[in-house]
Amino acid sequence: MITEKKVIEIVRTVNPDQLHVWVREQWVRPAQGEAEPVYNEADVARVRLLDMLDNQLEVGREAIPVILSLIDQIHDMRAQMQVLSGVIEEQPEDVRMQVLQMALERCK
Amino acid sequence: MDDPYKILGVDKSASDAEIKKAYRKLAKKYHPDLNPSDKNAEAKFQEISAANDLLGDPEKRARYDRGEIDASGAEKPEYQYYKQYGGRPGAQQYSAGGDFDDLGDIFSQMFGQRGGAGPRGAGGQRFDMKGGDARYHLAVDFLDAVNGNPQRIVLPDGSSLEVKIPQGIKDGQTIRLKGKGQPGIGAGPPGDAYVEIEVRPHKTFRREGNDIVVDVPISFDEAVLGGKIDVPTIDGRVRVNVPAGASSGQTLRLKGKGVKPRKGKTGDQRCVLKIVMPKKIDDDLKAFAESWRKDHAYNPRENM
Repeated sequence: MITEKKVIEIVRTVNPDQLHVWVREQWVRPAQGEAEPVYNEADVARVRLLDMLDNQLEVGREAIPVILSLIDQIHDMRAQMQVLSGVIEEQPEDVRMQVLQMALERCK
Repeated sequence: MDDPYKILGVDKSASDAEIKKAYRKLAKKYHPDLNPSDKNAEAKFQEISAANDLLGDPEKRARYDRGEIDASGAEKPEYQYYKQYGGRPGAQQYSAGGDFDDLGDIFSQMFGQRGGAGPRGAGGQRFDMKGGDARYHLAVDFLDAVNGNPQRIVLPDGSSLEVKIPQGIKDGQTIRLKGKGQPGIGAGPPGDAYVEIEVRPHKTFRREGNDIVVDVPISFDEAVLGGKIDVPTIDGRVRVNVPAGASSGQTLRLKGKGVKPRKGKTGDQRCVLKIVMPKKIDDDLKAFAESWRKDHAYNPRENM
């Protein structure tokens, strides 16, 4: 179980006040535990990303939601593309070739 | 690593501020989370970070300039980038909506035309949107998880949420409660609640796959003579036959007394025997062991 205290131990350049701001802004969304918020590994990686944007690169607080939204959209799209390519992969050989050929033609 | 000055594209005489500026500019361009599809970006970013670790630290930079440390002088522990999690289970709280009906333009275009599902948001003027998902962490007692006893989450507003625990749920699994998230906007449906389950350890039972493993202490006389003993299982005590001459570490398997998951094979309970000597070795036992040893000595370590 990763508590807030542990997150700050792992990502040492983040302080509690900062983390609270990020959570309030919903840039990081830990699970609600019985007593306190509980983070998973994806949340910790997200805290690292925010630390990079906010503390190292100093992109500015106004830019952060814009960047996060774009990153989240890319990941959603990648996940959808993976679903789609998984489905295509399960098709018979001739269907797959046809899809591939048509896609290549249209990308020209 | 190559020359860190070249990597950051600065002069050897560059000021600290110039180095910081050069680093930021490159880091913004190559940060892996800003280039999730580009494998080269990650390598490039690592190079930039390493160069910055060296040159951004006046002391290290001076030592490097003096030739006291080489360019790889600064090593970083392995870094878990967000892109390793984004779009995957565990990061669904950051997804704009992974439901099929939300899958966006690609799928609705593909399947909408064929399936006759029609375009979404046909109202034109009205704005409908699915509510946000909520995420909870719930610690469950070992036996409640094994037996699938329902639990309750108390929400900050005082209301509560009933969580049906599937029998045999494992630590780290997530339960999705459809429609139990934030309310929708307009005619949009409510979001879902995701409940991450943590299974608390039990003082007696351990779980290995669907098997339950229990250390069972037996007395020295039970080990020698064998006999029936009472053993706890996840559904009550059962009588088990200990064979005469049992050793510590020997395992007795109770078929079908393990976890019964909703799907998959029911596990067994494995009782690992552990011989426990009496707290005080009295004169009788000592005398017996001494006389027994004279004619019956054996070496349990001969194969070591």
